[in-house]
Amino acid sequence: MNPLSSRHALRPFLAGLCLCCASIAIAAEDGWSQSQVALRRLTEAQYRQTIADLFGADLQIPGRFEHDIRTEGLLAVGAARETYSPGGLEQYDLNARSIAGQITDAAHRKVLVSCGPARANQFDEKCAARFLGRVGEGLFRRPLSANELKDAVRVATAAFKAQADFYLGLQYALVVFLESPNFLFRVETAHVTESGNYELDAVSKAGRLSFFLWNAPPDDELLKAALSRSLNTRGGLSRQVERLMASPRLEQGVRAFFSDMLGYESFERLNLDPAIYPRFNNAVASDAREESLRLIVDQLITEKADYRDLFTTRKTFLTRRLGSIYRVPVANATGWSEYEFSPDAGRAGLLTRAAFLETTSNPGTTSPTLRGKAIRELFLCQHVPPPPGNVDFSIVQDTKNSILTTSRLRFQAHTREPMCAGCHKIMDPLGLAFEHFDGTGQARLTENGTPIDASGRLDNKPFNDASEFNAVLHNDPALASCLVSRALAYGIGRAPGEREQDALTVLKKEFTADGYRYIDLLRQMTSSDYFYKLDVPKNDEQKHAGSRVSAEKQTKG
Amino acid sequence: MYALPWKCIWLAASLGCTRDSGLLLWGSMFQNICLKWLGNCCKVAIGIWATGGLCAGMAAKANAMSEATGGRILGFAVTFFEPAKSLDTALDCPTGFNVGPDIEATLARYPEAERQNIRDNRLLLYRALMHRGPTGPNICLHPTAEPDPGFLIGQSPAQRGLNLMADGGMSGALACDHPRGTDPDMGEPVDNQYTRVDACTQAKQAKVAATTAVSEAPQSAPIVQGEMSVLIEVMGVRDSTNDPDVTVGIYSSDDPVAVDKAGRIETDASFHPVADKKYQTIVHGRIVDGVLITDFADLNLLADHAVSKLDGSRHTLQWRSARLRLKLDPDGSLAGLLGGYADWEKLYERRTRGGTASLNNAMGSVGELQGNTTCSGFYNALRRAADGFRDPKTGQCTHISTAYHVRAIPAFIIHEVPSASISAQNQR
Repeated sequence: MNPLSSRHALRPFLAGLCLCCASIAIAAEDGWSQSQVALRRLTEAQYRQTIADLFGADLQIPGRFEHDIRTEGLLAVGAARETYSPGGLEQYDLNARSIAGQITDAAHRKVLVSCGPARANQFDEKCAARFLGRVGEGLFRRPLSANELKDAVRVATAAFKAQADFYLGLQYALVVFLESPNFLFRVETAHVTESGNYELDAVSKAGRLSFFLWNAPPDDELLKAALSRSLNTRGGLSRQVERLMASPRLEQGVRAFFSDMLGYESFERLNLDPAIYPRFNNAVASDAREESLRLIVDQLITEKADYRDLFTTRKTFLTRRLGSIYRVPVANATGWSEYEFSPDAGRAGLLTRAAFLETTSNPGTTSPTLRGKAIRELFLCQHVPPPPGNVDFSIVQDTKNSILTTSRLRFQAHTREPMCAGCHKIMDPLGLAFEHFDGTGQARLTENGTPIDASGRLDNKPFNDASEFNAVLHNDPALASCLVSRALAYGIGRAPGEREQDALTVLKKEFTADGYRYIDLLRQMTSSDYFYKLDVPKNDEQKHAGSRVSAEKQTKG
Repeated sequence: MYALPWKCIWLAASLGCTRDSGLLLWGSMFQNICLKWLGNCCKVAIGIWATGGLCAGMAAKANAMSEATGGRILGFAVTFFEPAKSLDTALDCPTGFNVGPDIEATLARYPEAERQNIRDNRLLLYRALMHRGPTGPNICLHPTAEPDPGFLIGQSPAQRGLNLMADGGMSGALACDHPRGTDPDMGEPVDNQYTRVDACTQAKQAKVAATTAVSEAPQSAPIVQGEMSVLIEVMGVRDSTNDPDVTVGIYSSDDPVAVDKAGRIETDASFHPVADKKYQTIVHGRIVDGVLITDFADLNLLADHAVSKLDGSRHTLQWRSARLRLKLDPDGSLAGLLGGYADWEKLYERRTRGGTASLNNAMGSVGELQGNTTCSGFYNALRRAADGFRDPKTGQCTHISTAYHVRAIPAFIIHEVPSASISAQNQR
């Protein structure tokens, strides 16, 4: 029997872990996260990537992950305000025991544990220290302190004494690592500069840089640069930025950012009515998501195109399943084919593709409101107030109404109610531009036999359909400005504060001057001091310096 | 050596223009003349032309043909493909239906003491019937090993089918005399001897359903299950109501149809024809009052079969002198008939042995009993009804006229693709 399956055996570790979690939660409540030193919970993707980087992609991770919370438009910002629930902790525990068991099983230990005693019933302390030191550094994204390593070896020794198996001893120590907040949270620490400002220390810098560009922990070279303080020099930082940006792993980081910015976690709960949309299924949804991410990577990284062109390009990548939705030919029977829509297909830009159209629809109908809201919030960084609790949606849901045959007519009737009119006026005209596409993204010219009118105005600029709308959106200064704000917030883990508006202005100006090249924005942002500085109000300095020290103590405990 | 003489460049460009402008015949003649006169220089030029070096954008064969003939390309995926059935079994079979092998006559060939045991044991009974007794050959493998027991075939003059003897089809010494039916919808004589042979045979489990109703079903199970994909491409369509000159491609595909959550085959899916030219038939056609009619051509279609798949072989459905008659419906679909001559002995093999030699008793007496038929009766009925491609030596016709219901929905047919990218050129 695997002793790790015994909850009794884990009790001491769980108790310690709970104490640790509690202290972090208290720190967060105490205003630590609000004071700009981020303590961010690893996202599921980051957790998986870390395990894959350190131990190989073949390791199974059986547990579920708690949903991340979207704050200020980003999960990455919400991650700085999250702890975990007792249910979530159970899942982390399940994952930790499973991963530790796999690392030390007979098949993996030969590769992953490079040393070992002659016989498993002997304990090799040097080997245990070497292995745990290396693995701990990878998981905590920093070298272990002497005490941390000593504690880990002590756990392995104690477990060995009970079980008489060297590898079971390592398993126990690994479980402690994998359940530690130092692994599950990205802990960023700061120091005070000569000018009196707070700045991330080099190891935290490395983590911020790596998670921003790769959505993965720092590799050995980046960590080495941090430990040698080379990362604190302009040249050293620049070398690492260029190296990370030249890596194929940059795509992973770009995908993670846009998945977050575009709210793609909504794909997990996307469920369109099969009676109304029989062509929709999970595979179509998965392809739709991948289509848009491929297009983003192609346009922004491969082609180094103007970010705004993402909203007007007719280029895309398709599978046969998506071809069936778009009713266009797809060359390859399996996998992906590049494709360019014809000018009269009305498929100009990211917003005319299945991913946006599906995630902004109701299960059985399109929703001009959801589509308009998404454009305002996701792409223009504008805030749309939530609807009041007592709204009567009966008119908009009556899709078979013989008089109000189109969405436009139904929403016009709905917005005659004064309490609804204000918000709908800023959302619906934008969403109605996409009425030529149904809830799965299939083109249509009529609804209930009535020709669809997709015309409208965006801030007084007229358009007749989605393509024209996208052309107007392309030239809206808020489009590019929103991307810069979101990217910075994503990187630093919080919405830019009042005192960072100057930096934001500079970034936006440079982004414009560079021709809206996202790749240049990434370089500019990660090479700049403000990406690593902290916006701490002067009168709080003392308090936060104290918080930092206490947080360090807590996380090491 | 490395710089092409101007003549070659000019020649290649000329050929490219010739191909683009659609004068394929001229292009072909020009190549032959050129090869003789200009030798290697021309070969290089033609090489450039052929590989598309000077003809960028010549993506698919279909596009090339479209450009050659002008007009639109309409692609279709077949969703229903099944033999035409008797239009009225009461008229076709006034004296009743065929029955399976005579169990009592077979049991009479065994000692009396064994008969009850055989009668009570299904496997023993099947084996006894297969050999018509304790020692005889497998009758379904050797249908001439017993006297022809006779076989009831359809008598009605009303038949579903196509006129295979008009427009330069079957005629003269190649044809065998047969009673021609009349299609009630078209009002013209038709040739469909296979349905006549099959008209009075009703399998036990399908006695009620085996009538015209089958032609109304929208989808065939083998197509839905991916055992058979057939594509129809109509090229050079200038007028979809009346066009005297279109080119029709009939292809097999390895790409299965996509089925939506309601169980319907999806329109506008993409398919590749199989690379083997044997399964790509190109034939001239015309559209008359919205009905596509092709000239006659030989046709091969691939179909997996539950039995033939067992030994790894693929099933080929073959017709000689076949044609399509399909109505172009306003909703963009096609519906109508395929008519043509099939080798009756191969038809017999497919019906009785799943079209494979290695499973020689796949159907045998089980099929005879369940299908209310006899292998020998069916074999001889096919032989007698065969009406095409007479063997001059024996005087026996080797093929039998057939008709199949065909329905097809819009699809994209992708031919050779020069790169990973295709444009919206053939976008609907």
